[in-house]
Amino acid sequence: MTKTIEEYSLSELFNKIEATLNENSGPIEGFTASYLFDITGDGGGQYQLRFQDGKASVEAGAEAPADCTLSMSLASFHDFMLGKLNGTVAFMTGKLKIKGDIGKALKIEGILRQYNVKEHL
Amino acid sequence: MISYELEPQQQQVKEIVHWFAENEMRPISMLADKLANVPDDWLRKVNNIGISMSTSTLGEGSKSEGQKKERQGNRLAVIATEELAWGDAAIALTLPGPGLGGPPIQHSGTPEQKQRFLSIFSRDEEPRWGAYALTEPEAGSDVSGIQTTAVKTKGGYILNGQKIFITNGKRASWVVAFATINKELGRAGHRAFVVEKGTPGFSCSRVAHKMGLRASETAELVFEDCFVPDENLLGGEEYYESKGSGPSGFRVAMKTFDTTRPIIAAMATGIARGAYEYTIDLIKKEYPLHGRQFQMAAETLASIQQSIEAARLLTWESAWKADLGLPNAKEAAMCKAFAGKMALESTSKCLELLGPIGLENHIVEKMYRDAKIFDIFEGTNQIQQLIVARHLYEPFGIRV
Amino acid sequence: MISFMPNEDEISFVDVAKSFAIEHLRPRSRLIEETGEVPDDMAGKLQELGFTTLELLESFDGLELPLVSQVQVLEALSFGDLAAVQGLPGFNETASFIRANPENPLFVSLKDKRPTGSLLVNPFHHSLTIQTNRNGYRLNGVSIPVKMGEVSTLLIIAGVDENREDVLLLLEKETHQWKSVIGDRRLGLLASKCARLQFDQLEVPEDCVLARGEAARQVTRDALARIRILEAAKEVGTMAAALAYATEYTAGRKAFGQEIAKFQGVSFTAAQMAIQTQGARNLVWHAAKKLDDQEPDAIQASLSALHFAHRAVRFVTDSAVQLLGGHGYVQDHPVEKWMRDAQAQVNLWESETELLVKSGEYLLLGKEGNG
Repeated sequence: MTKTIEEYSLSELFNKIEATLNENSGPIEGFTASYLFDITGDGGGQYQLRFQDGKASVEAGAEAPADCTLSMSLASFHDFMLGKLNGTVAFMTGKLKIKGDIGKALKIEGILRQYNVKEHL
Repeated sequence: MISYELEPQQQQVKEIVHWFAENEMRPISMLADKLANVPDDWLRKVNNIGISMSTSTLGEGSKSEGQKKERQGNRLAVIATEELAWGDAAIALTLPGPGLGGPPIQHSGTPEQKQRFLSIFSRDEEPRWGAYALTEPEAGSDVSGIQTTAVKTKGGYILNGQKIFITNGKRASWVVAFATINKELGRAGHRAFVVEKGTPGFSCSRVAHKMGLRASETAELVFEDCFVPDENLLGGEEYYESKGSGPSGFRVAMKTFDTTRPIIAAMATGIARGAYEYTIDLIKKEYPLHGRQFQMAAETLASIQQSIEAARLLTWESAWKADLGLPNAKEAAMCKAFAGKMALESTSKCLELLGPIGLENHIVEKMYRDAKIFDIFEGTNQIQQLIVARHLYEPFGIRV
Repeated sequence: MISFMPNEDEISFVDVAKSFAIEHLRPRSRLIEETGEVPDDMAGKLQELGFTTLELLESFDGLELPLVSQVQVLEALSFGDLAAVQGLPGFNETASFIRANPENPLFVSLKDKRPTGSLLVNPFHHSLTIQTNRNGYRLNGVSIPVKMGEVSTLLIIAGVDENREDVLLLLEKETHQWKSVIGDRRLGLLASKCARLQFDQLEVPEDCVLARGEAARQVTRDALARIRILEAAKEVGTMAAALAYATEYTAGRKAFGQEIAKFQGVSFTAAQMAIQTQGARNLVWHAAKKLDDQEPDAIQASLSALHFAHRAVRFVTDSAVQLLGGHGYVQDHPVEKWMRDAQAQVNLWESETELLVKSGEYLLLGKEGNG
């Protein structure tokens, strides 16, 4: 165990996500979608996650339009990455707010669950 | 302050569940009714998404927020369930999860039992179900007349008897089954047991063919010298000993109705709304916008819309009271009685507007067949009226 | 949020209304019907307590309460006696027109007056004609019966002229003499001073015209939506009274060896009465809130709420008479009066069926049809 998740910056975490997703393109093959993650609170920020042609790409900021915006607190985001927060429960309890395409929101939740990002920390 | 506005969380729940109903449930709705079954691969797929009808899941969220927020579980549950039933009531009842077996375990189970029985429902494993087995061939409305016996023996009980009309009874990993330890004790002799699938002496004799809700599994269960260990007596011996003359298994069964009746009423509302929306869409497209046909349609649609609205408000009121911890048995009975009747009447009137095309393979036709049961199960319309009447006359010291 | 909890002010005000209804209105309700009027002392007391100015703008010294609060208070008062509530002095329905069109210069002059108001909705151009004139209109004929018509000093007429153009008129008795024609009133709401209004070639100048055409339709639409909800609330109060009375009676009345409440034919009827009353109450509150918050479907909701209330109040008051048997039919108990009052009540403005058809037109067209 090198670092706790709190010791990573949000930007580092998103880079980890991008790397992890691209390592195994199976689950994201043929999937096209764009997401805006709006992480709120101290240490938060906005990041876009784009899927196209079997590749995932992360970009800071909120310039380009996204199919779906997902908002959550930094703490919830950490829990989600560590597999401690069930995505669907998070949607239903309002910890994770969705704006835009609900189908795509549920899809990204399903995809991210298949990757064990915490092992890459 | 009086308010009917949905909070952001309530709105989001409604949107997500509606998306699920429209995009996942509706596409297989007619097929499932025809097959009288929900396809396994579909169930596996949705189990993975994790949408659940459980009030506990929905209620947990607000509590764990840290602050002292008002409980929302019941209101969220009726909002979510209306959307699920709008999609397809039979499929809604077939979604993996503890089902109606959940509340008794939540209310009366020991911590160990809650852990053992409620932790088996996982998104990462194959779909599983729980079930609730109370009704018998000779005991429906008159629950006190159940005949299934539970005779004390070393280490547990021997159950003998039969249950009918049990939703998901065949596929369930466990069923909460009600039996009597002594018929002479009447209701005081009732006990709730969790009987696990595969237990020797416990089997499903058949699955019923029904007017509607055909995709939902309605099973008959048989107990033949079925041994159930002490650890599966819901609440344990201590529960019944400490309560003394207090709540018995009968109370366990009755208490959950105050939560489940609004949910059933919400389902009835969802079905009626599904039929209404389909019908008004069609009328807008195909009817002339004046003249006698138009006026008749306007009248009928307005009548349906207002009864759906009335049903929803009665249901919300009941759920709101439950969330606030206020007694809601009268309101639960009122919304169930009203919505149950309203759903059948509304779907029937929609069919009237559709005319002969309503007879064919048609979603509103299916909704009509699905609607009828909502005036019957979870307490018939007559039982609901009896409960409302009891509350009306109680202040006068009259037991009706 | 979804909450059915009145706020503290509402709870207090309702308490006052309920107490007054039970202590004063109910005991004198038969007398009020026999004399055909609400006694001055009672009307005075109600005015003092603010019950006749709930809807009136604050600039008119009214309470200008939101509809969601008013419906609770009106229900509580009507629990005492609907006929009394319908026989009170004050702006009455005209207050809703003022509320729907507060900037109208014609209303300004009324600020310091204490009239008794009436509303005449005159869509048909037969017995009472509204004829255009060089300078305004000429009214001629006899109207349909109008609530408080016998004594009103302020009149709003929502009608159509000979060209089928909508017109909204404001008349004051002291300036424009009209006669009231009292008919053979028998059905119910006998204290509400219903009378036809007679106009003998009455010249109504331009300064009595509140609005014309689309503007008139708009104001009338908005005012009627408010009036419907307030009337529906009064009906809920009547239902609550009938339900309470019949429940108590059947809990005590014995037949065939037991209290008749123990027979399901009786108890189930009571249960249905309770369900219809609660159903109506919820729809009224919901419509009130929608109109207060100016939601787009508020007018449709007002049509729906009043329709449901009309059907429910007929059912509940009729059932109350039924449950009291022969005793329900004679005048020793109030239920037969409530049934008559309820039937008179649902006859006041739009018909039950008309409300439903209009509601459906809103659902299908987003507005009222052309009729």
